[in-house]
Amino acid sequence: MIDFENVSFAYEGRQVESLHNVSLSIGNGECVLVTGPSGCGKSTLLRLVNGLIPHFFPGNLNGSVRVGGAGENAVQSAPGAAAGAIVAEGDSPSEDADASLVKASSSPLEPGAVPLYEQAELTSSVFQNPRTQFYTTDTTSELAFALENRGTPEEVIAYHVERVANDMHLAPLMDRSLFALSGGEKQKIACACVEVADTDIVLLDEPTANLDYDASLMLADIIRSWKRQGKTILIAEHRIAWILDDITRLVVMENGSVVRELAGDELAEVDDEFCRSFGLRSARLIAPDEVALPAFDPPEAAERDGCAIENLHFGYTKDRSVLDFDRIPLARGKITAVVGRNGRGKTTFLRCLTGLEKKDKSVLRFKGEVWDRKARIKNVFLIAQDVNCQLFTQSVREEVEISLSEGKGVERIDEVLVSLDLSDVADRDPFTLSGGQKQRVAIACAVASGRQIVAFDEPTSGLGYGHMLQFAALLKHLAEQGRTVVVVTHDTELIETAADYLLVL
Amino acid sequence: MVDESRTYKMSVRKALLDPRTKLLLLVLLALFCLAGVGGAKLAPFRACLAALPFVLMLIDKRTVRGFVLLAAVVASEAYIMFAFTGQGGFLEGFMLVTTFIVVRLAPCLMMGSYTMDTTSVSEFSAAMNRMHVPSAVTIPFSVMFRFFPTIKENAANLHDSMVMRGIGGANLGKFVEYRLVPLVEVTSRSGDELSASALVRGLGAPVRRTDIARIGFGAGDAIVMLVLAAALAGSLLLPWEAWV
Repeated sequence: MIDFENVSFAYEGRQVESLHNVSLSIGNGECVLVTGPSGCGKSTLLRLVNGLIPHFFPGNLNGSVRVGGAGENAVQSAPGAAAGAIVAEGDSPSEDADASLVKASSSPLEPGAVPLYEQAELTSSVFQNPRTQFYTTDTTSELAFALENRGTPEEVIAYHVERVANDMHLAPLMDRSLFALSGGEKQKIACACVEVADTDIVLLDEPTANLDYDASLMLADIIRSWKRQGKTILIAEHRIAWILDDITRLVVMENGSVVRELAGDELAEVDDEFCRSFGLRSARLIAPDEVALPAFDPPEAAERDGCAIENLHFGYTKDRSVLDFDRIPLARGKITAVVGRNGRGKTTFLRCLTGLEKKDKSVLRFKGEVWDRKARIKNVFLIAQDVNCQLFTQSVREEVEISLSEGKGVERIDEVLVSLDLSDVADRDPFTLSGGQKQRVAIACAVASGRQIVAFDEPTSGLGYGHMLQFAALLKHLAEQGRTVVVVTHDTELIETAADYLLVL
Repeated sequence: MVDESRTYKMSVRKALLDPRTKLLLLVLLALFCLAGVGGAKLAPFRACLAALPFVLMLIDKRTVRGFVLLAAVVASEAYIMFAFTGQGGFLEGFMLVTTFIVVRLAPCLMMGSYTMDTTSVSEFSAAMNRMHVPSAVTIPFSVMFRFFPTIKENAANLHDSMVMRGIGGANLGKFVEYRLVPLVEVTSRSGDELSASALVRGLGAPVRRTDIARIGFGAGDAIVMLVLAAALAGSLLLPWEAWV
């Protein structure tokens, strides 16, 4: 069904190959999880299957990728298919691959081989970011979209949309604006789109990166039903626990190569020791609110110079309050993980804590001071989930400079940059940095601002094991400096590694 | 608790106005209200046309915004017609600018917002198909329906971060640098992801695209056209200047 033969690929303008001589053969009805640290090439592998490489991401491709049923139906992505691809020096396998292409395919051998819309009848994709994978603005049109593009008759589209909406219990979500849905609901709609398109191959590129625990389990359910239908499923993810029981094969990648393949009974070998040795996320599935950590419950006497949110009663509509707490004590100079099931207001809690919610009337007591909403804006630093929306300047140094608290000199900038290992990139534009580096820049700004409370929204959702550990060390560093750290997260491993207290909403 | 077990029946409701009517109204508003084609003789027609988007917003979306703005437009029109003395002075000048904006610009913006709010991508694409507009033109325009709200979301996120970090737009240069540059970068990234997802689902295939939207001219369109025709005829044929 999907065959990679000695595939190497380098994105246009990059020296380093993202894939290096990868051979992988995936049969009909398999459910394969490709995992590995970020940058290992797992997403690149998927883009080769759905045709985004080379059509959308041009570059230098060698080797052959075959997608589709064996024999006459096979659709091919040609080697060197990127227009004007420069074949790398040395012994490239592209000539042999060209020959095999002529034998196996009836499609013409031209750059770009098969246009994306033909590939679209074979493969469907679910992407990482639930916000940016829809074309229309309402759920019903979105479900119909793929079939509309194929020119399927209207009655047939209506039949399939209704079938999927009922099978997947989507009735409450239909005919609604896509902008009004939660991340989990959006991802569910993305899966429903796959179901309507009814292709034999389903690709999921980090589908749970923006999902919480419950939503990941919901996604696993959907994947099981696709398995029962006999679809071939390829998932690229660094989180593995949520789907481990349902896959037929685990492919571990590192630096663009496949380093380990486990199938069938071998999958039972996947335990924490195995995961550590490959730098993978934990294989244990534990709900974030079941981590054995105490809630912060200070004795009365210690209250006076403590930290607590009081009178937190907040809702977006009058009749329904999302948050309803008289008092939440927070441990000063410690790391508190905030967890909660779907819809318990984790993000709202952060927005209230940081003073961004204008109608919030709660107050924060901190070392004898009382901070209302406006005072909190100046005293709490929030590092958002999408760090891209948080960096404004053209250089890392300037970014830190505009955050400096009053009365601090420029020498403080260098101090902060050194402490976060950012001196090398001090003059670079933050937008050109990697995700992890951007996050460190945001933390550098928090440190430079001198604020006592630093809050994070799902900071490790896209991080592999190694980066997660680095991040945990940073959190501890912030706490050692005496800062109060509040982390909203569904990352059980991060909680186990770094948190001192658990706050269940 | 929502009932997840209820069955879903797809029903595509026909909108009050056909997308083509909305586009025509946009063009008319730009011509007559914004550009002022027709001069003084067409003032009543222009007033009717300017009121239309607000009325539509009121009937179709039932928003108070439509009502409040309609009142502002009526008041401004009344001011220009009856209270304007032409003597100059600060108050007169201020009122001139204000009423000018309300009467000329607000209706066009309102029509634009009404069109965006009440037209689905599918309806728009169907309307374009009926007018035989090639997909090379239709696709970029239909992407806008998706893109404007995405820009709005990104801008709101950036705004929150700026407030939180205490970065103000002290001067125009800094405003552009801190506000617009990141917005363009974040938005172009979103745009890439949106296009990739549309392409892998077969957008741009050389087949005749189906559109599930039901479009077609109906009673709503007829009423709008009749009202406008009557207003135009009235402005041109009746000696309305004598009554004012």
